[in-house]
Formats: sequence, C-alpha cells, structure tokens
Amino acid sequence: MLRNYLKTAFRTLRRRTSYTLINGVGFTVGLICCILVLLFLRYEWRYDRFHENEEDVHRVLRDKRGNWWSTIPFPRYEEATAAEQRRLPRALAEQIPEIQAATNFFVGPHGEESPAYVVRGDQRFTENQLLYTTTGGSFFEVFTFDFLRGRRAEALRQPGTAVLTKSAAEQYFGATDVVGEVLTIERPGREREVEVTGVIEDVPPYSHFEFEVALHVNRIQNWGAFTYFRTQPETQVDGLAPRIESLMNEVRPARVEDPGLRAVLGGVRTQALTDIHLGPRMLYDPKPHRDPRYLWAFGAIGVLILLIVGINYTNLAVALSTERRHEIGVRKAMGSTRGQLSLQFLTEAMVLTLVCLPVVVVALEGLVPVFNRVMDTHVQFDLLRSPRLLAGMVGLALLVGGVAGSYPALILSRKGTVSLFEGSFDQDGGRRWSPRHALIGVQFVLLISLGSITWLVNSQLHYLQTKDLGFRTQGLVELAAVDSADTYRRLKTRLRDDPAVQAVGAGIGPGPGRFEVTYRAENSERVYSNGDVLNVTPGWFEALGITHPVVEKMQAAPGEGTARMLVNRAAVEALDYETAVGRSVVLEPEGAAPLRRTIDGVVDDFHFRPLYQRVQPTFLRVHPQVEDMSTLNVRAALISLDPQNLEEGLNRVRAAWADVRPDTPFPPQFVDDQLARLYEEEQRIGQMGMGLTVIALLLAALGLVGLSAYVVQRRTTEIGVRKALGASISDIVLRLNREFLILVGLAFVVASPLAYWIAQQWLASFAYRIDVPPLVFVGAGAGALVVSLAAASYQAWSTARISPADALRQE
Amino acid sequence: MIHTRNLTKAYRNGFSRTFVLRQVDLDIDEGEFVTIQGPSGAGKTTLLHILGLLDAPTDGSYEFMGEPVYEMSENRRTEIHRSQIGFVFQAYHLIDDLTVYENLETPLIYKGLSGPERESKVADMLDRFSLVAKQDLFPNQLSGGQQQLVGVARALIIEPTVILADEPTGNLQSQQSEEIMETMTRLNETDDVTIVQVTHSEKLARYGERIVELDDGWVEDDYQIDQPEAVKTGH
Ligand SMILES: Nc1ncnc2c1ncn2[C@@H]1O[C@H](COP(=O)(O)OP(=O)(O)OP(=O)(O)O)[C@@H](O)[C@H]1O
Ligand SMILES: [Mg+2]
Repeated sequence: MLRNYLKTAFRTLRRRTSYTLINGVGFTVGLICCILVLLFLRYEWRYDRFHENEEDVHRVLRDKRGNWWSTIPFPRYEEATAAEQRRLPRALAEQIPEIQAATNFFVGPHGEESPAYVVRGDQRFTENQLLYTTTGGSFFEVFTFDFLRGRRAEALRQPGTAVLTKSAAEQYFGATDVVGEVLTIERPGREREVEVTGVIEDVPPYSHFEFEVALHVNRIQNWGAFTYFRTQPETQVDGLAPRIESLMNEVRPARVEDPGLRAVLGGVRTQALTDIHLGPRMLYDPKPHRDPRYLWAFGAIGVLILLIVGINYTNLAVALSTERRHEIGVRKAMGSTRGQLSLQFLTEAMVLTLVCLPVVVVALEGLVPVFNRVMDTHVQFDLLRSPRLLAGMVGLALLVGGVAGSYPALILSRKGTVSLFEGSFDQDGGRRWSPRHALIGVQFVLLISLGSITWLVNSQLHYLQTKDLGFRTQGLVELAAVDSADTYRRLKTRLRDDPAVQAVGAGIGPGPGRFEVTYRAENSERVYSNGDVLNVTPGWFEALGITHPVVEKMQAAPGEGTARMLVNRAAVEALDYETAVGRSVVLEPEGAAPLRRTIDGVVDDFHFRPLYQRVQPTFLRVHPQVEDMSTLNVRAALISLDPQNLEEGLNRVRAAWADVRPDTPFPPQFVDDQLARLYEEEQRIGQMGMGLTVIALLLAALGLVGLSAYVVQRRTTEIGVRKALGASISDIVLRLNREFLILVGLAFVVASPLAYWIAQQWLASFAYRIDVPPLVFVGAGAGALVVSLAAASYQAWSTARISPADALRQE
Repeated sequence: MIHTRNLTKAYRNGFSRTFVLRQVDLDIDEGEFVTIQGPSGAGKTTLLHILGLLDAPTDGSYEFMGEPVYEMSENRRTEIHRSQIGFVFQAYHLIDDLTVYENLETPLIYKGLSGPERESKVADMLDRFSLVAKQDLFPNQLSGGQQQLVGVARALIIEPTVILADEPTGNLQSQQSEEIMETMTRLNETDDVTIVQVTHSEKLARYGERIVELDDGWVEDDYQIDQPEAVKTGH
C-alpha cells in the first residue's frame, strides 16, 4: 500500500512542476529557517547545563533598594579583609547541611576597569578573562570542568595558584603540560606570581561566565563577586533563602545593627544556575544575557514561517485537487477508505518535505556559520555526531508535511463520490467564500504585520545609531589602558603639539555605565540611587566638544585652582533646584563618608549611557589636572583626532603610546564603535529577525503568486467564454482581482492594530524612541496589495490574451 | 439483491427542485442481467451511481443484499466497494498518474491482496483484454476505446458479485463490444454475477434478459426480453 502511495506521490509531484517547485522551495526555506531557529533556541536553552547536576547549583542574590546585587558582604568594598570575603561561602557549606559546597568568583577586568596582563618571561599578554575566587578548590566542586592536566582535588588549593584553560595554556606556553609552571598576573598597581595547578578544557561558549585563567586569591579586589552553591541532590532550594539570610546577618552583623543599612536591604533570594542566562542581567554579570522575549520572538517567526509554508501548500493542494477529483472519486468507488485517501495526501506532502531535506542539510552547513557570525553565538550543526539532531530533523520534516497535507487530506477525502465527478465543489469560482479564503486572508495579515514591524524595528535601530547624543563622537578615541596619572601626563605631553590630535582629556568615554551612586539634595532626606559620577579633566570636555564657561575658565589657567562640580539638567530636575549653581548635593549620603559638593555649573543633558534609559542625573567632577584625581578614578583618556586625518592621528597616538608604555599593548577604541556596541544585541537580533521576516514575506508572496496562477488556470474556460462574448482584457483582470482586493482590505484592518501593538511592546524598552508613523501600515498594506495584484494580474493578463478557442479547448 | 422503493433524486436549482429520478421501484435478483435504456438525460447514470452506493437518493429506500443502504456505515460501504461491486464509468475515470497495470492493480491493493496474487490477477486481465502491450502506458497515451477496456477490466478484476456498467462499450468498435458483452454474459451465466448495464444500443441490449426503460426519471417500461409483451409498470 505504502509503495503505491509513494509511487503516486512521486508521479504527482513530477508531473506538476510549478506546484512542486513552489512547495519545494517553500518547504526547503521553511525548514531551513525553522531548524535554524530551533538550533538557536536549543543553544540558548543549553546555557550552563553542561555542569553535573546543574539543577543543584544556585547563586545568592540580595535586594538592596529594590535592585538585586551580588553578595560579598563588604563593609565598604575597598576595605573587606580576606577573612571577611571568605566567611559567607564557608558558613554556607559548613552550617547548612543541604549545601555541599559554596564558592564565590569574579571575572575581570570588568567594564570600565583597566586591563590586566599575564606575563611570562618577557612576554606580556592582555587578559580580559581572569577569574578570581577566594574559595579555592570549592570552585570546582560547584562547577564541573574537565581536567586535562593536574587533578581536580589538588587544583587551586592554595592562594597564589591558578588553573588555565587549554587555549590559555597553549597561548602562554605553547603546550598544555604546564602544571607547576609559574606566571605573573599584573593589574594596575599590583603584581603577583601564580603557580599553575591544572589545565582544563576550554569553557564552553554557552556558559554564563567564561574565563581563561582561574586564580585562587586571598582577596577579590573587585566589588561584585557572586556567591554560588551546590546543594545535595533534590533539595528544595526555596526553603534555604531565609537560612542563608540569617547566615549573612551572622557573618556581617552590620546588616542588622546599622539602621541605615537595614533600611535599604530587602531580602535574599536564590537563583538557579540554569535561570541566569535568560534572566535579567544583574550588575557585574560578566556576559550579556538573552532577553527571553527575543527568544519568543524568534520562535514566533519560526512558527509563522511554517504557517506560511503550510498555508501555501494547503492552498495549492486544494486548488490542484480540482484537477484530481476524478482520481479521488474513482479511488473511493474502488473501496478506498477516507483514512487511506487522507494517508495518500499526507504521503504526498511528506515525500515532498523529505525530498527537500538533503538541500536543507547542505544549506544549513553553509548558513550556521553565518548565523553564528551575525548573532555572536556558537551554534553547532553537526549531523554526523548527533543522530538525535538528524532524527529530529526528519521528524520535523514529516511533521511539517503532515500538518501541511492534513487540510487537503481532510476535505478531499470527505467529499461525496459523485460530487467529485461532477465537480460541484469548485472552490475557485470566487462566488463563494471558503476556508481557503480565510487562509489567504491570514497570509495577507502576516504580510502586512510582519512588513510593518520590520519597518518599525529598522527605523528604531537607525534612530539609535543616528540620534544626536549631545557630544561629538567623530574621530574620538578612548584609551582604556591609561591607568595612572603619570601615564596620562606623559601621553598628554607627547601629543600636545601634534596637529593631528585636537584634544586630550582624562576620563572615561560613553558606555553602559551600570554602576550608580546615591545622592540627595542639601535640604531633603530623600535619597536617590540613579546618579552617575564622572571624574574628568577640562580636556575631556574639549575632546567631547562640550563647552561650559566654568571649563573654559579652568582651561585658561591650566592646572590651577580646585576641582569644580558640574551637573546636568537631569540632576537639577531630580534635586528639584530652581537655580542649582551655588547649592550643594550630598553624594553617597548613607556611606561611611558622605561627600557634600557645591554645584558650580549646569550642562545640557548628553546621552552618555544607552538610549534605553533616560539621561541619568550626572555629577561631573572636573579636576584642574590629572594628578588631583584619585588613582582609582584615572581609568582612561579621551583623545579627539582630526576626522579628516584619522589614520595619521591614530599612528601618532600609537607612536606616543609606544614611548610612554612600551610594556603594554596599544588598545584604542573608537567611541563610535563603542556606542554601536551598546545596541549590539538589538542590532544582531534585529538583523536576524529582519532576515527571517523578509524570508517569511517572500514565501507568502510566492504562495500568493502560485495560488493566483492556479485560480486563473482553473478559470481559463470562463475567460475564454467571456472573451468570446466580448469582454476586454482589463475587464477580466479586474474581475479576477476583486477577490484579492477585498481580502487585502480586511487583512489591513486586522494587521495594523496587531503590528502597532507588537511594535509598541518592543519600543517601550527604549526611553528614546521613534514615533510610530501611520504611513508604515499604509505602506505595508499597499505592498501586500501590489504583490497580490501583480501576481494575479500577470496570470490573468497572460491567460486573457490567448484566443478564446485555445482557452476553451483546454477544458 | 437490489430492491428500491420510491427512489427519488432531486437537485436543488435555486428555489426550485429538479427531479432526476422519480419514485423508482426496482427489484433485481441475484444472477439477473438487466439493461437500462433511455434517452440522454433520463437519469440512467444517476440511478447507477445510487445503485452503486456512490450517491445517496433524496428520498425512498434502497436495500442492497438485504441491507438498508441508508443505515450503512461508511466502512460497510467501503467494504462493499472492495468486494461486491464492480463499477464501469461512462467517462472511464482512469487514474491519470498510474499506468494501465497500476490502474488494474489499485482495486486489488484496496482489497488487501498480496503482491503475487495481484500480479497473477492483473496478468490474467491484461491477457483477457489484450492489453499486455499497453500495460506500462499511462491513460493519456491510450485511445478512448482502450481506456474503456481498461475501465471494464478494472471493474471485473475484483470478481464482484454485481457489475454496474455505464455504457461500457460506448467507444468500442462492434467486435470488441460484442467480446465484452460475451465476457459479461459468461460471468453472468457461469458465476451467477448480477449485471446492470446502461446502453443505447438495441443490439447490445439483447445480451441481457431484462430491459428497464427510463425517461425523465420515470421507469417507463420493465420487461423480460423473451417475453416482449411484459406487464407495463406505469404511473
Ligand atoms: N449535480 C447535478 N445537479 C443538477 N442536475 C444534475 C446533476 N447531475 C445530473 N443532473 C441532471 O440529472 C439529469 C440526469 O443525468 P444523468 O447523468 O443521470 O443522465 P443519463 O441518463 O446518464 O444521460 P446520458 O445518456 O447522456 O449519459 C440530467 O438532466 C442532468 O442535468
Ligand atoms: Mg449517462
């Protein structure tokens, strides 16, 4: 029986070339997109699941003023002792029986910090992925990494030891057999020798933290290490949070005793390891997280593409079936059951999808690397090594075929036998409205809504890239390795008289700036926590092209006077001052040493932070010379180059850098690029989403073209007769298009509000965004209309041109 | 075998109804060879479709082999199509995508016969209708007459108890027609197969033993051939 079905299926497909081609292209492209989306979703889902019993690993978060933070209970972060840092993880493991092991770690340098270096002999490597832990070997009890060299039990036992990944070992030593070797880790102001105690496999890219070197240190020099723990299997972790909180109170009594601190502390909660990547990115989380809404969006686009392919298939198969109804009738008369008939139609669809599969595989081989490049992922497509993937693909292909074939199968097998012979279920006459019209309507709704959403996303992304930020970015370079006043001073002196260099200032450039300070107005108790503090020199303003009389005065007398305080308009508003100049603001009022500063001037708001957020109240501390800044605040230099002469300018800076810091690589960053990187995630998702959407659009259009071809073909006789009766070509074209016109109109009414709503959901995540122009929807509607009219009209026109006799003979 | 009472078929035509069959009472016993005659549009094909369980009457009752058709389940009908009824269509209705061989094989597949059984039966039929040379051709590569032959062969191949044949010889030359009629007569006589055929040809009607005349949906006449002065049924 099956052989018979297969044979018929192959013959049907071979004889109807355009039908097979349209559906074949549809299935192939649909499967490619769908599998790509599935691979991506699987990749995201697999995050952090490579650890043994990963569901037993959690981390501790504490709520401070409504934000969730990491847990190192420092009194003040610069001052925590090694013992204080070790207390919580130790207490967790010792005093809560359900917890097997606990660790803390920090991966740095983070964000705006100066780079760190790994030194071996006379070689010096920049290393951005150093992992610091004070818990030593416990780290490898909580997390699972495979040891290539050394033993897990002996790794990181003592402070001053390190574990390297395979690629780090190869980079530094050119070999992995390096247990016992010694490296020097260099950070600004500190140098430390470490002994290698193990080499592990590289950290997979689908880990929410990556590192090249893990270090056991006495003290983590950074603020923001998270505490992780592993429980006994099958522990109900919910019950642990209160006990963890009381332990935290124990190891740090200030949490209870200090009323100021107690007032801002919320509670403690735990977060499962496997929830981290798809959860909100906490301060100091080392890698971008994935907003699950985007995953939903991708999933939805995948489903929509399949839907479109399915609708295309259904429409064409039903249109084609009018041609095949005799066959169906005969089969029924010979005793075929409905089930058998359905199976035959299903077989046909499934054969088609299976035939497409090899093409899909070949295409994916080529496309997955492109996808990875665009999305910055490491999705793998390795059929040979993953039989489950292969089985999944075959399963998906069959499923798609099955679903697509089921509607035709259902309605055709249900028809009465004689009505099949008599052709009384002609659905293409356009006289009656049928479910098929609903399907075409859905197709148009998708065309219009996807089209307008794509348009809006594109406009917003363009807006993000081109909005006037309130400062100059062209030719602006940030040198993050400037980590001491001395380095800065010498660099500035070298570049002072260079014509290719317009301005040099100390201070960081624009960026995500996730660290916020608290402040309050002089006469109010209300503490705000969204302040942004920038420590800069007058040259920084010059480099950014921001002018202010206070700064100009400082520049007129370089190096003289005391530090001044400028604030932006957002700060004035937040403080609720009518005239801000001369009044004061208290920074970190709850800290051990609140700072009261008098405001010397107000600058216009500028967008130093991503456009998701409103401009933060910003406090600019302008130091007459770099030596006045505390070492902690000297982090970077902004250098403005002549935009006409970029290449030249950069070379000068490089040469100057080589003189000033011959020991350190030259790390220039164009601010333009840095800004673009702020929206990298949106760009990536936007590009990929748009690519998929365009494919969906093309598929929908293809289906409509194919369908109208069949509709017209079915009505060839009618066209012939009408012509014989004297109808003009345009009469005929118009008649055939009427149906599509009505459908597009209805679809427009449904699709516009839908698309508007979805676009608004996304746009709402940006504080600065485009207004949605109604023209977008009109444009998308018009686009759908043009596609369908062009398709139907071309067919109608070419049919209408043939002579009536030819048209009639075809019947 | 076949009993109809008051069998009526009407089509809705806007607000009016067009009657195609009107109160047809027909009793056909097992082993009879009946010919239905009548002018074009009289309702012959419609009647045959209903008798063959391919269409439902608008009104009236129909018993096939003692079972009321009205009460039959879809499955039961399918079963009857597979084993009891061989239908020859006026318009042949061969499956375009299958070869002659495969067209003949299809009913046997539905009947659930094994591969070798099918092979021998199909070979037998091809032989009987001199179609061996054509077995690998597709219907559109055959002449009208040849297609008709395949249609007849396909109806006979399942060895049905009833053959319903709608102008089985309409496109055949007279010698071929007669051969087919003889085949049917033989089946009727030796295997007791019930045969209902529609034909316009007086000569071919003679092969049967009883003639039913249909006109505008009415049964005008129903008589045995060797009793020309049969009782007139009327209205
Ligand atoms: N689906 C239908 N709707 C309306 N009328 C129909 C339908 N099918 C058949 N008829 C009408 O029923 C009548 C009988 O048709 P039928 O095909 O049974 O005639 P026939 O006796 O087989 O004629 P012929 O000898 O030409 O084959 C015709 O007048 C036809 O127009
Ligand atoms: Mg007829």
